[in-house]
Amino acid sequence: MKKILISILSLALIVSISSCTSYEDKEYGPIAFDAAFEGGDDWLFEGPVEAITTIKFKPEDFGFSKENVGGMRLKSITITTENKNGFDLFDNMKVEVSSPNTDMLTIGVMNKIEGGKSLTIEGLKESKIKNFNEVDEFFLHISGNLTQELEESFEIKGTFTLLVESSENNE
Amino acid sequence: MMKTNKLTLSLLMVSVFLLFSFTNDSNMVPSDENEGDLLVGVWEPGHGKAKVKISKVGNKYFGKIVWLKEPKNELGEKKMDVNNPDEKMNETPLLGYKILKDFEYVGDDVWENGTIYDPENGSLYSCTIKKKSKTKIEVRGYIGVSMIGRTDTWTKLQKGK
Repeated sequence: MKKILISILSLALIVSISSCTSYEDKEYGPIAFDAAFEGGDDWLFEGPVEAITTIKFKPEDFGFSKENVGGMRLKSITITTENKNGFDLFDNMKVEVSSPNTDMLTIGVMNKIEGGKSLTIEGLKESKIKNFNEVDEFFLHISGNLTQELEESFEIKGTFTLLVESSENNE
Repeated sequence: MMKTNKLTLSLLMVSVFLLFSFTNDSNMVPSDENEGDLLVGVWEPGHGKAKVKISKVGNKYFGKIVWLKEPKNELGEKKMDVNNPDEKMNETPLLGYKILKDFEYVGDDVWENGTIYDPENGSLYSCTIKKKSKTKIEVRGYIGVSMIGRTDTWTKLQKGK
């Protein structure tokens, strides 16, 4: 009886281990983008502003297939501006991702802006979007608080790299 | 007689063509997408302590705080998301914070599958929004079952106010 029980438990353990997919992070990027805060209006009010850009998700371009993708998080994002004021006008910056298939998640935060014309935000290690294999395109939201009114548009250019879980070559 | 018949037939065909042209007009087809976009704009919750701007990104609606009645804390500093259990968010300003996320229009004046965040206690709730009129919506936050929750009426602010 004891032997049968041990055999059943061992079998269950083997089945559960074999059903777990092992993932490893693969770099997706760098991806370049252009965006403008609040759609590039020639007037920005003091307070919260946001730049949104649409990104196609094609892991095949980076050598792994979408069907083997698990979760996704941000490695880092660098944004630059040619605006004469630079990022001194912002007192914080946040990076979020939304898509038709996944819930919005904050993947990067910078609570103190040093200023200048370029800044890099590291991804939050614990902020992972699950089931990213269901995503064909996603929206990258970059938001911040403007400390003063601007009588001009504020355009940015940027590159980011994601860490995408893939089970490719791990099976 | 023959000519009259041909003329009648031609007129009939033109009439049928015109009839189909008008019934195919986009105004005759109910557009769920446009109905859902009623949510886009600036809204004031019942407590009047904030204003929330709702925008559409892709097929979803998101709402961020764009105005606070009391933007500073008792120390005169900008209000932060200090009640968020996620410590990395504690230094994020409340102004600009997205408190409504991922709402989808499901028809019949209802938006579902979204969440609402209450900065006063740092809690995240499942949420359903129902249109009551063009300028009033009912926002219902709940945990688990929709029957147990709290409903608030929000008012849409007109441009220039």
